[in-house]
Amino acid sequence: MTPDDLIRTLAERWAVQEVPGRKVEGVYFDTFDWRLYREGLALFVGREGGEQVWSLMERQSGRILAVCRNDGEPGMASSLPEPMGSRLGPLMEMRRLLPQVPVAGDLRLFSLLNEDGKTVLRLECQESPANLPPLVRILPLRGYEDEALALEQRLREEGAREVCPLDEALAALGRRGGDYSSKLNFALQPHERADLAAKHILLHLLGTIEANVEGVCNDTDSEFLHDLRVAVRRTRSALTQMKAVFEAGAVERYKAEFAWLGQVTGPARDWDVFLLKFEDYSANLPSGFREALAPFHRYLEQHQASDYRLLADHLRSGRFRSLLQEWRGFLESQPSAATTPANAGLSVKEVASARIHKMYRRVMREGRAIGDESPAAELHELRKSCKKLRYLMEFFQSLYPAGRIGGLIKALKTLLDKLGDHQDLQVQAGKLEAMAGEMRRSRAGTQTLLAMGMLIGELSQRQRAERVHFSAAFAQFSQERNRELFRELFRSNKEEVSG
Amino acid sequence: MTIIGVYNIKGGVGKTATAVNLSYLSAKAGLRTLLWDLDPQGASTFYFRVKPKIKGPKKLARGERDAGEAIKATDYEGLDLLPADFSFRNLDLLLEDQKKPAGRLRKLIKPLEDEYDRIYLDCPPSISLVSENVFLASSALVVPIIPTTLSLRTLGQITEFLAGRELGEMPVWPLLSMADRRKRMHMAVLEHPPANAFETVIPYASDVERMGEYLQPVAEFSAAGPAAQAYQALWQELEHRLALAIT
Repeated sequence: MTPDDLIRTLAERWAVQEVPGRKVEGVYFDTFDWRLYREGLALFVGREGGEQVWSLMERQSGRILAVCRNDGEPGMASSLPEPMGSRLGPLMEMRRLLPQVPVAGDLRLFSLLNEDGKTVLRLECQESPANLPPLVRILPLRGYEDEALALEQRLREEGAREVCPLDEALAALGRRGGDYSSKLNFALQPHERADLAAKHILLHLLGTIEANVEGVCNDTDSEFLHDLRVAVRRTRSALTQMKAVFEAGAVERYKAEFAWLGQVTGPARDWDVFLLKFEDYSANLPSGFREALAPFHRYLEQHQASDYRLLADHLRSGRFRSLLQEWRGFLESQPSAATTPANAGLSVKEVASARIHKMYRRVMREGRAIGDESPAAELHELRKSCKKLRYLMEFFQSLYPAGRIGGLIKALKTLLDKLGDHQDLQVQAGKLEAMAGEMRRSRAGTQTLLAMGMLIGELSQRQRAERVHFSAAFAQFSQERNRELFRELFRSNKEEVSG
Repeated sequence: MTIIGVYNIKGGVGKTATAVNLSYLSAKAGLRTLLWDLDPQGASTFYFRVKPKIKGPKKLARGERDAGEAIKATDYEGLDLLPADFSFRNLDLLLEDQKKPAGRLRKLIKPLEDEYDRIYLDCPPSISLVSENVFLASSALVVPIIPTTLSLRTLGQITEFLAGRELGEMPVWPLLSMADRRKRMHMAVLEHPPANAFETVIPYASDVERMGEYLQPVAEFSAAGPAAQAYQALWQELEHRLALAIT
């Protein structure tokens, strides 16, 4: 069916007038991880008569939710024009809008008139390749919503496709919306060889590292570095936890290299964390002191920028490039038959269950040993073990019934959040103290130093409050039902898994 | 958002034609525009082919509908209409039992503030509670008058009436409309226009009458005609004045 066929059928109910069509030219924007797309939204920024027009749409129907005219560049939420800023800000959080899909084409426009000759509907029509029915978008007119419903019904009967223009544009580029996510989602088979499964997981993590390098080097937004660091930590964890599936020499070498990567990416991330929490920090100060924090903010920005430059140098270095290259070569190579490590040939499920159970026992042991007087370092150790356990469970979750392992991961995440809050507050208070000292030496104003002192006090107080909650959080995690589930899912009868 | 009241005590002065053509040009220029037909005769509503809707008396008496729900899109992008039926049902009924009846219209407009850049009010003739509402809500008042001595008298009545109200700085701008240069009296007034009158004069033109036949603003069917040209000049002058008067 062509647009003309469609218009002929619609003419039975409405008088149809073709009005001058228009060129569509513009770009769909989204965050790197498709936060708008995932919420069923699409943001199109195009030019109309010399003006830049922002249209926020429902992705599926193309229905316009908000429009504004503004010549600014789409970027961080705080810089967006209204109403886009308040609508998209909570979704975007710290992420920047990036140009995702450029679009250019011709649209035919039609007006549908009622028996009084009044326009009650508008229709956009785009001819589609491959003899598919035309792409149609209904533009309802205010006060004539009933007519739009009638047309929708009619279009469905006629088989016209109401397809998201964004999905169509993506498909033309051979892409899919949401093609980047930092979340892990593997479909492993229980009897798959452990070494092949591990390579599959590690290759995915390598892809995540590679995908984020450019965003880190350009300091596009803080989430690129965050995702890159998480992928590095997961890689290191997988290497340690599944060591006996690969040849020992290789494991040691890559472990050392990824440890280096974790270390050089650390300082830049620390500044990001401070800058992300800055609003929250200053909101907790008496209003008179908020402005006094401005020199501290500048201090953070300067250090963040210079550490990002250093980091970019590392990520462009020969050492980094050859690490990624050799690592990919290693992961894509066939396992050699001559030197098969102890666990390589076992099924992935055996290895996974044994590792998860072992790490779970360590978490329980460490957690139970922590009392109200235990030093913060013990909580820190527990947090590291919990993270390792979480990564393992996330790598291998497709091997276990989703409902059960999902609940356990959630319980573990709750505990981790508590531990994380506690530790972050402690680390931040310590770092703040060091920074205050440095700022004092560089003759920062008294008000600024006072404000920072208040912040340190505030953070330490919050940390103590979190500390009190630990035993309840751990009790919640180690409740009978969870213990049973851990045993049931992961305790293996075989003891030949080494590592 | 800027609200422009188009008003005269006297009917038949080209008031609706002014409101329809100005709001149309406003939308054409890219301003999100609403034309509110406050005149129960519903001439603006008729020009845009919007059919009045008859709703049950109960709903009407309780005044359930807010202005936003009653708005209809016109055939022109960016121009919406609030039809006459909404106005006469809601306004007169509600005006009476309000504590501050003169501020009622302003309250009804409030929720529309973010949706429109310009709201044109096509007002009924006579001085009534509705016109008092219009005076309170408007950022500026455009008063079309036919260039005759009698018309000038009504202009005097309006300014006198407004002087007794606390309306702040609302400007009142007379517009010489339906001017016929063949008539001696018209020419006399045109030579000595009232204070603050627009420099643009809307001529007496058959195109304006034909709006009722085409059911379109003049620029849609006779863009090059004298009436369309005059409205275009008037709209520019109005926007220029608004930019200076309202900051």
